[in-house]
Amino acid sequence: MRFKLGLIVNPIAGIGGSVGLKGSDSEAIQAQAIKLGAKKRANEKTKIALQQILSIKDAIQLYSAPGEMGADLASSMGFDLEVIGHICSTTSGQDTENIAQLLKAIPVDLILFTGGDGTARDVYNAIGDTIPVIGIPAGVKMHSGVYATSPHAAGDALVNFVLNGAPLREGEVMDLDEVEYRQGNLRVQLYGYMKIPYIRYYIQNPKASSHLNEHDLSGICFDIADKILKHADEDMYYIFGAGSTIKRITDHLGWNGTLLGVDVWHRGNAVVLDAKESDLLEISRNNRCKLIITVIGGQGHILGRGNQQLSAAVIRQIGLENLVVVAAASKIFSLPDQTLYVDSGDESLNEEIRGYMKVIVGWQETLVCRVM
Amino acid sequence: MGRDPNTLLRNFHQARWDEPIIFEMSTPGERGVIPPPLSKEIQKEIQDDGLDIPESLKRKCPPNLPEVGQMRVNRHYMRLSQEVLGNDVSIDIGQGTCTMKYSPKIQEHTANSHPKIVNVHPLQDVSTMQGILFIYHEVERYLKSISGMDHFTFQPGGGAHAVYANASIVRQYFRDKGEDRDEIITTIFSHPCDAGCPATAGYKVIDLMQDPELGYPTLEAFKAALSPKTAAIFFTNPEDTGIFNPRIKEYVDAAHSVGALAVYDQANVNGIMGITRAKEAGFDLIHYNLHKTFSSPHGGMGPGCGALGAADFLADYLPVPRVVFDGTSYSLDWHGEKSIGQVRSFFGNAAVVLRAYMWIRALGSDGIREAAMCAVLNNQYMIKEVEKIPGVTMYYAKGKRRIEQCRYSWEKLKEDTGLGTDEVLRRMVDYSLEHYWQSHHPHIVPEPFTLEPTESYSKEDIDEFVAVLRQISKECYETPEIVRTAPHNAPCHGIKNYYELDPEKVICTWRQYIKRKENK
Repeated sequence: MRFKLGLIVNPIAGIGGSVGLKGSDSEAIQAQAIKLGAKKRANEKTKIALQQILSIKDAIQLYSAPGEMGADLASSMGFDLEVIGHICSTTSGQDTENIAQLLKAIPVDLILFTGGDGTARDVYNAIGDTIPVIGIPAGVKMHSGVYATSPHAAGDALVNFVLNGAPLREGEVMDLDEVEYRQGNLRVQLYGYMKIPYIRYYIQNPKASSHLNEHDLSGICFDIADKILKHADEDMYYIFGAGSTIKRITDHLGWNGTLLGVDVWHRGNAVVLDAKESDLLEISRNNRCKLIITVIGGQGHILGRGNQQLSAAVIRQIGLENLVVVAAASKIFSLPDQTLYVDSGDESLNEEIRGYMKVIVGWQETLVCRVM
Repeated sequence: MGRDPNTLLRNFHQARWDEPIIFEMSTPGERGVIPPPLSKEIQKEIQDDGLDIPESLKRKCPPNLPEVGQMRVNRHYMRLSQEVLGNDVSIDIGQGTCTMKYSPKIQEHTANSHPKIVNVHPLQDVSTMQGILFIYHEVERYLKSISGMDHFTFQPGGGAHAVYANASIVRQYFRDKGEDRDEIITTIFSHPCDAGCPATAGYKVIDLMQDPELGYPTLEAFKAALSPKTAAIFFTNPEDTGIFNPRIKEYVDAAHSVGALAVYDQANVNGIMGITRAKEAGFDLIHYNLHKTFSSPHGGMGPGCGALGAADFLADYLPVPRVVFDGTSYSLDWHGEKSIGQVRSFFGNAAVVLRAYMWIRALGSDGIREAAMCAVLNNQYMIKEVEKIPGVTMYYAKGKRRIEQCRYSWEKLKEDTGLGTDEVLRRMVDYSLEHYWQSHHPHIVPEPFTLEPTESYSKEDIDEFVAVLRQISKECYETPEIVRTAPHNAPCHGIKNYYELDPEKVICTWRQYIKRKENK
C-alpha cells in the first residue's frame, strides 16, 4: 500500500507580507500586493519541501490540487500524481476548502499544504481533525501550531512520517481578523485543532518526546485538580480559558467544558459555558475567582490571542494573584527564546504582568518564565 | 603510516564480531569452573546442623545462567570489548559535562591489586583498618581546603545520590526547626538531578529559565521565585552550557534572606577548583564527583562517589558513620541523633576515595589549580576552532567566555542540510571517536552537542577532534548521503535514537526477551 498524500498549495500565500500588507486574505489586497511588486513564493517553498520527499516518491501516491495549487510543480518534479477537482483562474480560500473536501473523501493519509493561517483555516473548515496535516510555512500570519519549522523541515517530517509513522497531536488553528488588524486591532481567534504528527525537529523542540509531553500534561491535570479539590473552596469561581491543555484539565475533573470557549465553574457546576466578556465581568465583580489559562499558539501568548473575552477589565477584576498559567514544558521550550507574551489590550495591565511569571508545567513543578 | 598529517583524519575501522548473546551460547552441562567435592567434615557438618536456610528462600529450580566454558566466555567478552570505544582508546572530548580526564593507571593498579587495599573488609575491627580511615580523613581534609566547607562525607555513591542526600539534609533541618517549607528552586541548565532529587524527597520544584543575553537566570527572575516557602536552592555553576554566573553570591544571599539554604552542585568543578570556593559564595551544602573531577574513572555509571560537603551548622545532619580522628587513632562515629542516617552500605566506595587521594597527592594544591587552568585554556582554544566550522552556532551570552565545557548547536547545519546532531554523532565513530554527549534534558538548545576537553588532552588531540567535526560538517553540505547512512566502519549500524524508542519495545534483559517472545 502506497502512502496517500494530499497536496494543496495556496499560490498567493504570503504575498501581502513582502510588501507590508499584513496578510493576503482578500482579492483586493492580493491585487494591490502584485501591483506593489510582490512575488508569488508559495510554490518555491513547496518545492523545497517536495525535494526532500523525492527520495521516497515511489512509496507515495500523490493527490494534488490542480495547476498552480500543486499539480504543476509536483508533475514537473516527476511525482506520480492524480489531479483532484477544479480551481478558479484566480484562486481563493474556497478552492482550498473544496480540494480539502475531496481529499478527505478519498481519504488520503495526510495533507501537505502550503500557506499561512488563512490557508490552515480553510483546510480546517473542510477536514476538522479527521486527517493529519503538515503545513509548509509560507504565510504572513503564522499564529497556528500546524506548520513545520521550515519548508525543509516539512519535507523531512513527511518522509519520517511515511517511513516510521509517529504519534499524532493537536495543533491550534488560529487566525486574526485582517480588516481589524489593518486598523491596528489585533484579534486572533482560536478556530479549532488539526492533527499533526509528533516528530522531532518538526515541532521545534526536538527531544520533547510524546511520552514526556503526555507525562507533563497529566501532571498538570493532577496538580490543578489537587489545588481545586483539596482546598474545596466553596466560594471560589473557577474560570477556565480556551485550548486543549485546559480542556484536558476540565475533562480530568469530570467537568465537561468547551474546547474553544471560556467557561465558568462553581462547586463543580457549570455557571456559563463559552462565556462572553460581559458574563465574565459580571461574575468576577462580586465573586472570588481563579482564572486558569494556557499558552495559545506558536508565539507564546497568554492573553490577547484566542481569548479576547478575557479583557483587561476582566483580568483586573479577577486580580493578577488569581491568574494561574499552565503549559506543557515542551510547549514553552519550543517558543522563540522561551518567552511568553501578553497583549491584553490595556498597556498598563500588560506592564503589570510583564516580568517573570510562574507557569505550572507538571505535577508540583513550575517554570519561571519571562513575560514580554 | 599513521593518520593523514594534513587532514588529521584516521583511516579507521572497528572490529565487528557478530557475537551472539551469551545466553544463546549456552550448552547444557558446560562449565567454566568445576568446584571440588565437599570434604567429609563439611558434609557431616551440614548434615548435622543443616544450613539453616528458610524453606521460603530456597530456589525451586536452578537460576537460568548460561552454561559456557572459561575460554569461550573470555573470548566472547574480549570480542565485545573490541566493539566499543572508550576513554583509553579514543579522544574522549565529546563527553561534555562528564570531565573525561586521564586517570593514571597506577591508581587503578593500587585500587585493584594492592594487598593492603583489596584485603581490607569493612567489617574488620577499626583498629585493624587505620590505613584506609587515614586516607578518608586526609581526603576530607583536602576537600575542605579546596571548597572551604567544614565537613565532608564520602558515603553517597554518585552525584545524584549526593544531591538526594543534600535534599534529605535540607528536609531534616527544617523539620527540626519546625518550618513548613515545601519548595526548592533550581535552574533549567543545572543538572537535572538538582530538580529530580529534591522532587523525590517530596519538594515542589521551581525551575528558572535562562536569560538569553546572560545565559543564566536573572536575579530578578530568581527573586520572583523566592518565598518563605523556599526550603533551598539547588544550583549548578558553571551551568551545563559552560557559562558561569559570576554574581552567584547575590543569589545565595537572597536565598538566605528568606531563610532558605543554598546547595551547590559542584559535580563540574574541574574549571574552578583552586580558583573559587563554595564557602566564599556562601553555600551551605555542596557535592563533588570524585569519579570525574578527582580522577576516578566513571566505570560505566559506577562505582562513583558524591563527596558531600557541609557547613558547620549542618554537621549533625550528615550521614553516619563518619570517620573521626582523636589525635592518635581513627574510628567510625555512628552517633548522630539528627543524622539523616546511613545512605550506603558501610562507608561508601573506598576505592574511589583512594584514587582521589592518590591524584590529589600527586598534583598538590598548585597542581590542582594548574589542572583547572589548563582545562579552561583547552576549552577556550577548542571553542575558537569549533566556532569556525560551518553549521555550528553557540547560544546565549554572545562574546562571553565559557569555563571548562561548552554547549554548541548544529541548528544551522540542520536548516541548511536536513542533517543534525544525531546524524553527525553517528558519523563520528567512522573517524575513531566515540559519540559525543548532546545535552541533559530538556534540549532547549536545538540540535545540541557538548564538548569538554579537560586538562588531559593535548592541542594535537583537540585539533584531531575538531578536524573530524569539520570533515563531517563538510560531508553534510557536500555528500550528505554518506552521513545519513553512517556509521560505516563501526560494529553496529543504524542505531535508533534513544528518544524515539517506545519504552514498550525496549528490551533490557534476556528474561524480558524470552517473556516477550513467549507472549507473542
